[in-house]
Amino acid sequence: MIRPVVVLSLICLVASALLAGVNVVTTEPIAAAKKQQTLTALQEIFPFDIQKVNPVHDNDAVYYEVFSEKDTLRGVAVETFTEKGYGGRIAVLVGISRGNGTIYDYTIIETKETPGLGIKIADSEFRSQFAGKSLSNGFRWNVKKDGGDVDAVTAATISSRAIIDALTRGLSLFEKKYHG
Amino acid sequence: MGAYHEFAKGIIKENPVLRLLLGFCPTLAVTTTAINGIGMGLATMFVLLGSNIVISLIARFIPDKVRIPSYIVVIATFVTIVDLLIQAFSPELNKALGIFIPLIVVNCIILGRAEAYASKNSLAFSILDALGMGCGFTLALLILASIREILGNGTIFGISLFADAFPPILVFVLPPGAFLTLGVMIAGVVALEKKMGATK
Repeated sequence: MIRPVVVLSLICLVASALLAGVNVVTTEPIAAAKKQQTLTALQEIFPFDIQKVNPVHDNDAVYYEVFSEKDTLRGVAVETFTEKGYGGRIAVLVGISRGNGTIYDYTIIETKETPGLGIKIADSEFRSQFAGKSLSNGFRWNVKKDGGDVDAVTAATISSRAIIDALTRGLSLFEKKYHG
Repeated sequence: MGAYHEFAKGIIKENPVLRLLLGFCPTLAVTTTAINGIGMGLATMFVLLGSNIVISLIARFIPDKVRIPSYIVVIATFVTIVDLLIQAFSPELNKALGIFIPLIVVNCIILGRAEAYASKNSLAFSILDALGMGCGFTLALLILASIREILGNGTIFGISLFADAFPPILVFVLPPGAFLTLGVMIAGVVALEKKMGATK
C-alpha cells in the first residue's frame, strides 16, 4: 500500500531534480538565443548595419529602437498585429524609418493564413509595394478593389486587407510615440 | 533472427502509424512538408530510444498501480530536457524542429511502446524496438509528407516540381487532405500485407 506512493514520489523527485538542474544550466543560453533571434529578424528588415537595439515597452506596445554606427537612431521596428486575418490573428514586425516615418520592410511573426495562398502576404513581391510608404505621403491604404493603391494577393483579399490593417496600426503607433 | 525481427517489425508489419494506429496527432499536424516529416520522425525516434532505455531499466521496480503515471513522468521529463537543451544550445535545430518537440509528449507511440514492450523486455531488445519503431514512424511520415507536399504545394523538399503546369491541390496541405491521404496509406499497407499472405 505504501510502496506505490514511495516509488512514484521518488520518481517525481528525481525528475524534478533533473529538470531543475537542466533549467539552471539553460536559462541564460535560452535568453541569449532569443535575443539573437530578434536581432536577426530586425537585421532582415532594415537595410543598414544594426549596431545596437533598444527595446521599449509602452503600455502594451513593443518598439525596437534600432541604432546604426555612432549611436544614430535610424529606425524603429514596431510589433503590430491584426485580428482580421483569414485564419485569425496575424502578428507583424514592421520596420519604420525614424527620419521620415516611411516603411522599410516588415516580417510576419505569427500567422495562420492559408499555406500557398494567404501566406503570400509574406512574400517579398507583395511586401515591396509598401517600401517608402507612410500614412501621410499620399499612399491610399486600401486594396485596389476598395479604391486604394494596394495590389492585393490574387484570391486572398481578406489576407491582403488584414496586412493593411496591421501595417497602418503599426504606423499609427509609431506616429503617436515618435512624431506626435 | 530474434534481434533482427525486433528491429524490423516496426518498419512494416507493426508500423506504429500505419498498423498500430498510434501517434496520429503529430503525424497529421507536421507532415505538410517532407523536411518537417523527417525532422519530426528523427526527433521522436530519439525520445523513443531514451524512454525505452530508461523504462526497460526501471520497470521491474515500479508497482503495477503506479505504472502509467511513472512512465508518463519519465517520458515528459525526457522530452522537456531535450526541449530545453535544444533551445539553449542549438538555435538552428530549434528553428527547424522547435515547435515539434513538445508535440512528442502527446505521441501515443512513446507511452505505447513503454507499456507494451520496454517494460517487459530486455534492454537490448528495447533499444532495437525503439530503433525499428522510430524508423517505421519516420518512413510513414516521410511518405505521407511527400505526397502532401507534392500534391498540395507542387514542391518536394522545397524544390519546385511542376512550375505552373500543374496547379497545386490545396486541400492536401490542410487537415482534410491529411486524413484522406493517411487513410489511403493505411488501406494500402493492409492490402500489401494480405497479398504477402501475413496472418494478422
